[in-house]
Amino acid sequence: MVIIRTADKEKFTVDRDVAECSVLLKNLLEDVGENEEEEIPVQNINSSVFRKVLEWCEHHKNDPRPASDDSAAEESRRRTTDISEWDQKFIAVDQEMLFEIILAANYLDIKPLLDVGCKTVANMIKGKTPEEIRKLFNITNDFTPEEEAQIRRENEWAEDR
Amino acid sequence: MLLYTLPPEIILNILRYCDIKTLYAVQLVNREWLELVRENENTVYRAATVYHGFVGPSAGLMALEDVSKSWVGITRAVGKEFKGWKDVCRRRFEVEYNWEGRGTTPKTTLLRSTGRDVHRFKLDERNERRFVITTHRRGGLKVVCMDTDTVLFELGKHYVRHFAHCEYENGFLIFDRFHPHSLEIWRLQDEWEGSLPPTNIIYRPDEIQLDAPRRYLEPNTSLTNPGRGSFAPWALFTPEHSPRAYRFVYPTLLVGSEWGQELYLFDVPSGTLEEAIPIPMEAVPQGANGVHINYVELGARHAFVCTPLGVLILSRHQHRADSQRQQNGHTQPNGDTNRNADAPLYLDFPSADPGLRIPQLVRHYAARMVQSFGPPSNAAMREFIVTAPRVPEQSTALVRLGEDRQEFTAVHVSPDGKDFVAITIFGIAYFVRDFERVFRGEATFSEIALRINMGTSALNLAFENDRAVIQTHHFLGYDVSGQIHGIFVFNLHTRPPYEVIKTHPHPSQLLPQPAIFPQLSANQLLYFRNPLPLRLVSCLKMTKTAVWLDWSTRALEEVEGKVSPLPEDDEFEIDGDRMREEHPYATRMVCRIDFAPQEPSEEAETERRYMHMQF
Repeated sequence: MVIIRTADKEKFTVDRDVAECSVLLKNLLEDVGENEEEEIPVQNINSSVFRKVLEWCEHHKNDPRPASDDSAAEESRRRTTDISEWDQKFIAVDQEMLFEIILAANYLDIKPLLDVGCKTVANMIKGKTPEEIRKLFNITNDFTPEEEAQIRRENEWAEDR
Repeated sequence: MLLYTLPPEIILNILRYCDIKTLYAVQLVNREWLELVRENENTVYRAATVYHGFVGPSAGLMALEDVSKSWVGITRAVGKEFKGWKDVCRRRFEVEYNWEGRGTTPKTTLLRSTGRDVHRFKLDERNERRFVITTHRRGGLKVVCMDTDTVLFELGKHYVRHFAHCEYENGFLIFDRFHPHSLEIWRLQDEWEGSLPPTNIIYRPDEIQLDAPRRYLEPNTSLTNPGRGSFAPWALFTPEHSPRAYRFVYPTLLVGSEWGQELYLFDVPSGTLEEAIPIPMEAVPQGANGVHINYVELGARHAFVCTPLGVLILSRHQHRADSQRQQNGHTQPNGDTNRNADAPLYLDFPSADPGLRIPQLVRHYAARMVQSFGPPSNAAMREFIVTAPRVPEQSTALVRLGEDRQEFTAVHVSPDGKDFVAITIFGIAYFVRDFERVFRGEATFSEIALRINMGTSALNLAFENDRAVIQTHHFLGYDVSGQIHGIFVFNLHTRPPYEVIKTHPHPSQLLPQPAIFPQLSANQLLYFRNPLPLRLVSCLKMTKTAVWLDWSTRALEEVEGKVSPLPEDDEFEIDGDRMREEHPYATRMVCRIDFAPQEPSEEAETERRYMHMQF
């Protein structure tokens, strides 16, 4: 068991192998050694998000760890935007929480969770028109009509035929 | 919370899961997103080539110049290497659209130096090769540069027999000869050192073959200056039983014997016989010594034999595996994983459906082709939709085994050895998905085969890169009107990038889709439907960007409007030697129908925009 303190000062007691899903925590734990009393601070993450991340780690603690230098495996993962059923349910959260999870996974260095998050956002924008994407993320269009026409000309090949 | 609160590297990570249409939309969102894509254009579009499978499964590890090499059909067409990964995406996407009949009109070229009487031909598109090898009705063999249309190498008609078949891959050329009936193997001269084949070759060339370069080389070519496309004798395979049909898939040559008793697997680089597989006795008709072999094909793990009754599919290495088992007294754990003790040695296709109570009946999924009512996108192609019957009860074709007049003319298997396409002279095309499941007992042919009745006689077949080309001809002696014959390109869409091609709402979605190959569509090549020259097609090939076939100059000039069509000629005999050699349609040379994106001319571009607006 290890103790982890989030940005809002909440303490979590976590199984070591669950915590080790995070490369960052794994490295920190190696530094503190067997001293179980020592609290590990994660400054950038709030308890509500961290609870969610722990839920994911708990479910995936026995997954094989991805080899960091295996670029072929990474490419084959990119090929598929499929997300497992459990992960789909897990990630069915509001947009704010989704982005918090992605940021947390990035900070904690949990690559598979980061991938799930990024794939989910990719699936949200796939097949959408520029206007639909703007609406989805509350973005304003700052192009002039001429600029827009220019981009369309450059990418005409990607249009439906 | 807005998306731009995410750091750019995460947004970039998200974009790497996006298809090219989404990337296009993303760039139109606002300036910030546009900049992000532009600054990381190569990263983002390289990921997109992987996503779409545009350059194969290992695309993520490929350098740009390797992509240029493997898609030489594209880079040659415009004389430019790929500029970057976005350029790869664009041009690959355009090739796919062109194959679908939704892009520009394919460009048709004749290679006139291939002569007037091409019988068979093979291709090598690689940068350092770029040649077509032809054999001829009146004998001889030529190697012709596909870019300059000049003869690089030629063996005279007194040496290479008339109507010789030929095979080629990876620098090895194979053609058949009489006296003794055997297969000559020649190898590209610049691929090995020395003038004589290495001593470890067991089936060595005989004196006649070794002497051929000196005696029968046509004077316009010369071995003293071995240039591109020069071949030299490598081996001579004289099997125990005379060869009938053969097929070379590097490094193995598959040979079916004349009376259909045996198949040989011959390793060409080492010139050694690997294995002789007897045709199983159960497959041989009563009272015969063997099967009648129409055609043979070699897959990654199987040999295929087309017979008048069906296609025999035999496991390769079956005897080796069996003898190993006998020697060791147990099965090889690391041996052929696709073959366990219970798996059959061979399969018959089509075969009776075990699910039916009447053993003579065969069942397959059925589909037919209907002409698309969508807008035509170019003048040279007409789209067909492959659709299942409207009534679900009729979605399978029930046929009496042996009475379907099978007579298979060709079968081709996908490079991964999983899917095959077979055609019959009575116009049936079978598309079979992942057939090894039948060997493993996981499926029956009824569950994995789609049967399309093309309505006209299917004669030639090519199957590469998730795409099949089938040439048909109307049944002789019947009224031609009402029979749609010609050359059809079938896009199977079992692998990416079909998603991106089909995102557009398509008329086919209004019709029931066939099982197994739900996205299958077809296009007819309209310039190649004149019945007489079509009847004479003797060879059909496909590369990643082109269809190749033997065709007559006259017939092509007719569709181009340069000459008026010839009147019907009753005396025109088209069978074998009786063919009137002087008939314009009987002048056969290699013809390329190129689907690679050409640099658009201003005129074509305007026309395309206009079409776009109109529909």
